[in-house]
This record gives sequence, C-alpha cells and structure tokens, in this order.
Amino acid sequence: MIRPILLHPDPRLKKVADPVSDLTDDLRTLADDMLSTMYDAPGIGLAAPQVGVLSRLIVLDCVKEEGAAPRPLAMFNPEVVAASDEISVYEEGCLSIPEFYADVERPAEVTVRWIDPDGAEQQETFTGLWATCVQHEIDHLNGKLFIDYLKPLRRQLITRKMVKLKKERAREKA
Amino acid sequence: MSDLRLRFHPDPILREVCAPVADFGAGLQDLAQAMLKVMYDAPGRGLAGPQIGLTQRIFVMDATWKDGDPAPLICINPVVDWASEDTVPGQEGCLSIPDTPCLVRRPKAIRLRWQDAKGTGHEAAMDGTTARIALHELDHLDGILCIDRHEGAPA
Repeated sequence: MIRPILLHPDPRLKKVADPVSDLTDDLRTLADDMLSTMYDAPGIGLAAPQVGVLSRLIVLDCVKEEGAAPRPLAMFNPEVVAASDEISVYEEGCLSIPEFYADVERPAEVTVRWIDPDGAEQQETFTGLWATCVQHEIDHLNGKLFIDYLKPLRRQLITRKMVKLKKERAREKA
Repeated sequence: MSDLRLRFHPDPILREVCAPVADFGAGLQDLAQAMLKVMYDAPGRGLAGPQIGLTQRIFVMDATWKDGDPAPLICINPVVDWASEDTVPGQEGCLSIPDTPCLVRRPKAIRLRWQDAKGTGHEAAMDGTTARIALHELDHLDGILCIDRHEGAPA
C-alpha cells in the first residue's frame, strides 16, 4: 500500500523517533508499504517519520544502473557505528521537500548496524550514494532534514516556498 | 531521499507531453541548476524535464562546454518562432537512449523564445549545433525522441 508522504514543514518531521523494541507484523507491513511508497515516488530512501510513524525504521534502495537488480533494504533501529574521515559531497533531495536540491557534505563511508525484518542483526559498510542515503535517512529518525545543513537564509527560503507549495496542494485536493 | 535520476527509453514518462511552467518560484532556479549538474555529470549537452521524471516544459543545455567554453542555458516554456526551410542532417545522441546515435534532419536555423528561471522572457537566433540541441530538447517536451526522427541506418 502506498502511503502519503508528509511534506516539510511538519512537526512530525522534527521529532526523534522511538526505537523498535518489538518487531511486529504491523511493522513489517509498514516496511513493505514504505518500500512501495519510495519506489512509487520515486525515491531512493524513506524514513518512517515521513509517513507519519515515529519509529526507528528506514528503507532504501540506491541501485542506480538501468536494468540492474533492485536491492530493497529495510532497517530497524539503524545506527552508524563507524564513519570515515573522508568526506563526500552529494546533491541531496528529499521526498518531503520536493524539487529542492542542495549539496550536503557527509562522511564518504559509514558502517551501519541494524535489525532486518526477520529480527537478525546486520552490519555493512556503505560507500557512494548508499552511504549518503543511509545517513540522510537515519537523520530523519533524529528529526533532522538535509536543509538543516544549509545556511539559515537558504533554509528559510526553502521552508517559505514549501509552505506555499503545501497550500497549493491542499487547494488542489479541496 | 530523492534523487534526480536519469530516465531511460522506453520509460513511458519520456512519451508524455509536458505542461507549461506557471509558477516561477525559488524552487525553479534550484531545479534548473540541479538539472545542469546532472547534464554535465552525464556528460551531455542538453537535458529535458522528462529525462529526470519531470513533466514540465523546462530544458537546460550547453552547446559549447565540451569545447572548454561553457554557456549554460535554462529554457522554460520554449517556443520556436521561426525555423529555416533549409534543413540539414546531423548525428544526435540522447542521454536517455545510450549508445544509439541517430541521424536526424532538422532546420539549419531557428528563432527560439523562452523564459528563464525568474520568468523573464528571452529570444535568440540559433544555428548549427546550438539549434540542433534546442530542437532535440524541445522534442522531449512533446514526448518525441530522436529515434522517432531517425533517417536510415545509424551513422
């Protein structure tokens, strides 16, 4: 099921999400829904707060090459356990802030530990777009958006523009 | 996270007729700059909205950057006011159709009218490669690909 994606500014996008202590079927369904929602958008990552659920769950698939097999990942309680000193810059966008893109600097390589949908602990080191995306999504679980890395003036400009966009969308629905 | 990923033929979005841009807000300048970046990274000399999944009448181009002389152009709601009767065949490639050079006959010269990201109107005479790229990108906004106009065997 495709779920509606919350648009910035929304108080739910600024909250710290709660750890998942009990991996229920409802949460597994949520992970599946989030993947469908992400592919439909289309996006390469999505965090539970973006669909209004304040739980520590993210999904991502950063396979870029046309025709390559998809690699959907669902991560419960993801945690960066190591990050490289080396920095990479990527022009990030966010499904909750459509049409805005900006360069964000992050560690080029991160090791992430998480619980998979079967309840097993996983650990993997990500590079390139995967590294950028997993950090972007984990930020969501801490109420942080990519525009929080930008200069205040630019962030305010984007937020003002988003307020306008949300009003327009609300009118279209009415 | 969203990503300006290139769309490839036969993605149906490449066949859509794009809607005119009506809202010239801050997001548009941002989007156009991001499109230029995708184009330079590809690397290409033109990129139209549908190629990144956006069905709006916007394209970016730079006919000369590969020769070391960048001239980025952001064209929104472009219209061909005049096209020469003289046509010329030329080879074209498309970022959405890798490794498929096409031989396409197009007007030698055109007069193009468009708006920039602030909504300001522009008009210019174009010829040679510049005209060819603009017409190729304009085709994208109407769901037309260079393979549709291809003449004979690939060059």
